[in-house]
Amino acid sequence: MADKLKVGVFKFTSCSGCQMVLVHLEESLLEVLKHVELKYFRMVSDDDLPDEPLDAALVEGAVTNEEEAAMLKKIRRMSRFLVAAGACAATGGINAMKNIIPEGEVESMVYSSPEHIRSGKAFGLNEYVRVDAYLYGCPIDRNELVNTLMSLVLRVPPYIPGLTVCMECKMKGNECVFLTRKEPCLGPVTVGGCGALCPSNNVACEGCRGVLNGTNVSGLVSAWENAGVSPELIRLKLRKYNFLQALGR
Amino acid sequence: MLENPYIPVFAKVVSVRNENSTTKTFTLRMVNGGAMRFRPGQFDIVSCFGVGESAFSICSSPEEKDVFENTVRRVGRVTTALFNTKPGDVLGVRGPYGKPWPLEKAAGNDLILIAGGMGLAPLRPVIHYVARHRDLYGSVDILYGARTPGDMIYTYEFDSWRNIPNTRLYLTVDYVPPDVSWEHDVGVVTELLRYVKPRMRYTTVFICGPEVMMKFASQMLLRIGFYPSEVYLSLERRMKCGVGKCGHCQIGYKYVCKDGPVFNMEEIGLLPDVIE
Amino acid sequence: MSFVIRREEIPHFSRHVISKGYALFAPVKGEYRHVFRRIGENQVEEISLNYVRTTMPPLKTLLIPPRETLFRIKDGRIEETLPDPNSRTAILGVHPCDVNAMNLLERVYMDRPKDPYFEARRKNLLVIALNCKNSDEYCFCTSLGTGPSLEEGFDLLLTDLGDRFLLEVGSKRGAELVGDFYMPQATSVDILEKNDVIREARNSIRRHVNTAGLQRLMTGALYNPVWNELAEKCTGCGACNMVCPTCFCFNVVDEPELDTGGVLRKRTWDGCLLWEYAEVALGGNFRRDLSARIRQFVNHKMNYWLNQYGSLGCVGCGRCIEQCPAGIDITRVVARLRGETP
Repeated sequence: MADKLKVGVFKFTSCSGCQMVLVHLEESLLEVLKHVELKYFRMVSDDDLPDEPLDAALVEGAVTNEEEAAMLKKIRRMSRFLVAAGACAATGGINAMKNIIPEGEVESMVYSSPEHIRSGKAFGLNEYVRVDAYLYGCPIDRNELVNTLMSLVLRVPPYIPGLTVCMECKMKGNECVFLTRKEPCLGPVTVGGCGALCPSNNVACEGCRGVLNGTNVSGLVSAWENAGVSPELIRLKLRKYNFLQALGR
Repeated sequence: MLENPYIPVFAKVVSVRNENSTTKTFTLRMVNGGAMRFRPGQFDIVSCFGVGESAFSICSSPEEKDVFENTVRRVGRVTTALFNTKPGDVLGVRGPYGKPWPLEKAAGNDLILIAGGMGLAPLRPVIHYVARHRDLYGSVDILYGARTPGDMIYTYEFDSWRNIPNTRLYLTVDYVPPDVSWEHDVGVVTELLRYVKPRMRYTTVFICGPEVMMKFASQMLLRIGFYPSEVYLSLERRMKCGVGKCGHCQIGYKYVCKDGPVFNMEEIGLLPDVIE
Repeated sequence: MSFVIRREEIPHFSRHVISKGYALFAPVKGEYRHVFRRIGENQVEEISLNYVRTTMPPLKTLLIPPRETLFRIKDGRIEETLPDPNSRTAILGVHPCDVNAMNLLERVYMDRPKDPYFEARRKNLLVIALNCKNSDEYCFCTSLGTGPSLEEGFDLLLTDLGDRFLLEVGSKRGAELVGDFYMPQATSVDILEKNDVIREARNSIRRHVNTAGLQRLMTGALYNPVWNELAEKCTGCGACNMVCPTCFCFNVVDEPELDTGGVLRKRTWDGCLLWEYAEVALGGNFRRDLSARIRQFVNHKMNYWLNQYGSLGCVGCGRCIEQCPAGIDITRVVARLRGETP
């Protein structure tokens, strides 16, 4: 058996939900830990970041200030392979919604004494460092997490099949929430792999897994417009997980 | 029991040879003692279990029965996994698949072999075959181009190829790094055609390389008077099954896995999504 | 050999099929529309044979499941995971277009080398088809000769005559199944009534695709600007690939099986509308533009199939039109290429 994969789990601006997926692997986690050694994982251990190179860093969260950016660069330097885990790390995620509003305004909307807040625009990790692989979703998918870790154990880059949420939704035999109820669903242009979790529960896809390369967001928006979806709803929908970027808006 | 075309047989890595910084040649032997009976131009599909499968040209001599070879450039998951293997490791193999180069049909003719980069791999068995059956063919011209001298593969065999009677090897690169000595051409591979004086109607051309290179080479050949039926190309497409089921390798109504990978220009004709 | 079975006897007949050892699949009313489900002995009353179209093609879904394990590798050994050769499946109430689509899938999967997973399932599948009584705005089977009635390719065939069904036997296996189920023989009146039902169904179909000289037209239109215009609208979602009863492409992935320490090699449905579908090493892609991918989908059905397997690859079920979020209509695409519609 080869040496165990030395992994660090890190978090920036985010809700910790993606780290929780790792914790919640439960029995599978024990199997994974036969191949993986967790060198740093603040959620489960107080151990400090060791001063040794990591085989892989699993990084959750958006980068929203200079301290985070500096720490991310340090993680990058010490890690052979860096995985952006979750929507925030991939694109800024929910946090990036604030990017179009002046910072002071956002802070005073949320905090009673915003003077203690040091936060700027929220970006995905690739704004600052090279990212070797992505785990999509809010939160990430447990099977994809396991597959990714096991690929890294085999010393190969992970693979997330490039299909859409819409295709997975069809494979599950669901009726289309857009065609039956005119709800704007981002499934047609969103990276699959979640098993079409939301539409399977009768909720339109929010696009938390990001835009799939090669799909046509503006075509989908036209389809929504033709179906009478309100411009306001379309704007909110596209803003939530940064789909405006794919439209060049 | 039903014959299952998706199930590989085991093959052991016998040795691994460095071709250049991103390319290695793997010598494999069937674990069950069987042989890979293939014809030049055919491909196999190699499995790294836990990672997946990829298709590679079989690049050894077709007369070598004991072992066979795949030259692999590290570009993705399966190739990375292959690069991680050591002699003695076991892989899965399926094949051989596909239509080979038309070596019987070309018998009696001169041959021009044009290769770019990794495209030399499916032509190496042709060169070995011709060397072994030298009387079957007229003159042989091998035109090989790569990005830099360091990107070339099989360089250790070049002298023996030059020593095959009535055979010439012309080399070219796009770029020579400052500290490298290079006594051959610089420029695109099609420019090497100026060294060749083809006997029209008695010459067959085999081309393999990046699709844009094959496009220019085949267009140039047609312009100087070759018939489309005399110019053969080996195409690369995404493949998942190798047996005409998974759909990925289709170009128009052709399946690269079973109708190709070797096609002549007449067959490719007006097919879309290929040399357009 | 033809029989008559009263409408209220369908549950009883379904129970008879299950009692013969078949896993039975049949349409039931879902929240929005009919869906095919596995029917247990106590669910036979739920079977509802009055439907036009299901969203998913029932036979493709049964014969090539969306995700399927090809084999397991564990401790250096390969374990084939073929379907149980002794399992028997019956599907009740599939329409002619879907049965014809299955016959097309057979040409792909039973072509040598045969696909053993498909073969095992097909061999053990009993098809109780249902001629169409109704159609809707998306149906265009009559243009392709794949409906609304079936002439062959079934074990048993039902036609809805209102208070009763005509039941025709199309195979030895079908004959065996009905051998000990009492039904009166059909009379010439029943047959005449069937013809009326079929004629009415045929006349109700309003959508058409002109297949005359289609291959020549399609090949001549490979560089038509229509493909670029469609690419503006198309979302690239691949829903058409999923719902098409003749789309057969698959991807292959290896997945770790943690509890056994093994690896599963799986295949999953794939689609030519996806970017990744024609991607090769180092970022190369032979259908980079969405226009090329739409062109591939439409041409495969309406052009390439003919060379590959001897008939068009479309059965006119209408699913790709109905399920397209962008409203792209394959029959209209053909009409546009013909210059018949703007």
